[in-house]
Amino acid sequence: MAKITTTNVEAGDATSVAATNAGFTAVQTATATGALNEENVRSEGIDRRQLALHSGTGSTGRMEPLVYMQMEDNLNSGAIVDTVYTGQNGTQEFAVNGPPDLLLNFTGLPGGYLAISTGDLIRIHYTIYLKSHTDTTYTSAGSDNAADANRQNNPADGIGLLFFPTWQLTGGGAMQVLPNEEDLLTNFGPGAGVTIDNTTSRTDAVSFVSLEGTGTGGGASRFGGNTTRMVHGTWSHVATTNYTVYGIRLYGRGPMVYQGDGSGNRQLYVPTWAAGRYATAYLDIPQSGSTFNFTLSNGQLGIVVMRGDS
Amino acid sequence: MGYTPPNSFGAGTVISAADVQENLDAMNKYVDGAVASTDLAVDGWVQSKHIMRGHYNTIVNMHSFVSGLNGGRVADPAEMSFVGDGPTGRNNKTNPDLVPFPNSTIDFHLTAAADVMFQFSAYPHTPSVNGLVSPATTFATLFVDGVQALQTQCATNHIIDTNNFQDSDFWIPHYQNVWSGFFISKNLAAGDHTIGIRGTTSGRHSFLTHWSVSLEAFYR
Repeated sequence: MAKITTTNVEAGDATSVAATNAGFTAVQTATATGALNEENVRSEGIDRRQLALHSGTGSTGRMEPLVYMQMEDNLNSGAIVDTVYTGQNGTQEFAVNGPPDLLLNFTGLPGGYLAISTGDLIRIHYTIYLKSHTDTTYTSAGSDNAADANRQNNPADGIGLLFFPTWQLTGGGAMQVLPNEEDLLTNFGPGAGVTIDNTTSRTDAVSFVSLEGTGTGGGASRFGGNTTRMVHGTWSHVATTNYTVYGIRLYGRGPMVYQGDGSGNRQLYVPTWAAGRYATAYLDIPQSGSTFNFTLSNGQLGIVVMRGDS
Repeated sequence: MGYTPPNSFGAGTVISAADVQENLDAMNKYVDGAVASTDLAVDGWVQSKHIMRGHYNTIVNMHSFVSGLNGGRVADPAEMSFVGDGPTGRNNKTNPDLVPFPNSTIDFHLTAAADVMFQFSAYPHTPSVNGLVSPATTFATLFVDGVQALQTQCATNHIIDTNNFQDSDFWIPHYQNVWSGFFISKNLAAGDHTIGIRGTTSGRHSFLTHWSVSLEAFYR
């Protein structure tokens, strides 16, 4: 505490050498190396001048609490472009890569990566627009084709297309599953699923997109593949270790079914489409063939990294 | 190096006015720009009592902090907004005009350049109306300072009621969409800004309920 305590010379006092020296020594002591502290500036409060500029990779010019903020999209010269992802049945993922590509990369930063420190708050946001799919008689309660009409009172199955972000933690390396998220980059099915939970098999970053849609053209119908559906997914995570992130990519996978696993747990399941309960005589999904084509269009990937203890 | 008085006074010496003044001058110089960084304590600088409170503006629902802004607008529970097909997408115009959904716009003022993230969400509802045959689509996009952020575009089709039952099953169908999105403006300049949702519909009209628009700005 850099307080100065002196004895004032009052009227009528004799000036002494000792008292004079003591006054100046008090100032010298109070301003000694490392002595000035918050007591000397407290009345000013904290303003922007006193907040640290982050000096880490990619954070040049940014002030706490923000370390980094970036967004990419998949527009082509400012225009929305459709991309068809064919032959999907949920057994493996597909990269949402257009063209144009949808990739958040950090090659422009010093070192070519984004440095994230332990304790940082990582916020990933993404959107992707599911324009349509090819099951033109689809409803989650069963096909509405002419031969199998009036299924609207069936209980619906939890069928959806999944999207999830991944990140690249080594230069040129493969995209990896986010911490504690369920691994949807590994192939499984048909006839198999993965059990999800709230610990290390989470789906916090996953978006589950309904395939419900309308018909198209003049034959407007309550059923079909004209989904016109935007999904917005997020992942918020406090880093428990340091990361060097070279890129973030969005993947899709599906259709999959959200259901119980028979043991009271929740499961993402890949059935054999157009067979079993999804055969023509039952739910009839898909109405033709056994795979789906998905048309995706405008999408975004964004990241915000925040830090408060620089 | 802290303040060091140039003169000290030994026992039996005369305290001269000149020496005292020199010590005071040195003190003046030290305080007025000669404090070295090494004089400062290395820790214990910031305690909660030193941090200024943010200012909350109740009228615009905006909280101003030293490091930035947080604010937004949330629709009242029974509030609705809308766009009509005129002057937007009537007869499926090729390049329809986009007009603001009323009460979905917020204004804000940045005192310094900032990185800003916007988010929005809404429940759109495009009713079935006799005469609508093809799925009439309503589009919505976030606008920042009057510029369309096309990458945020959302859409939904009109509620198709093929048998005109107009029962609850048809009015709240599975294909009811929720709109949600985000947008990032990096290094947005100091000054006044506006964000909002604008849309176009080729249905008769399209309503919004339970919408929200928010921003979080971080000064550079």
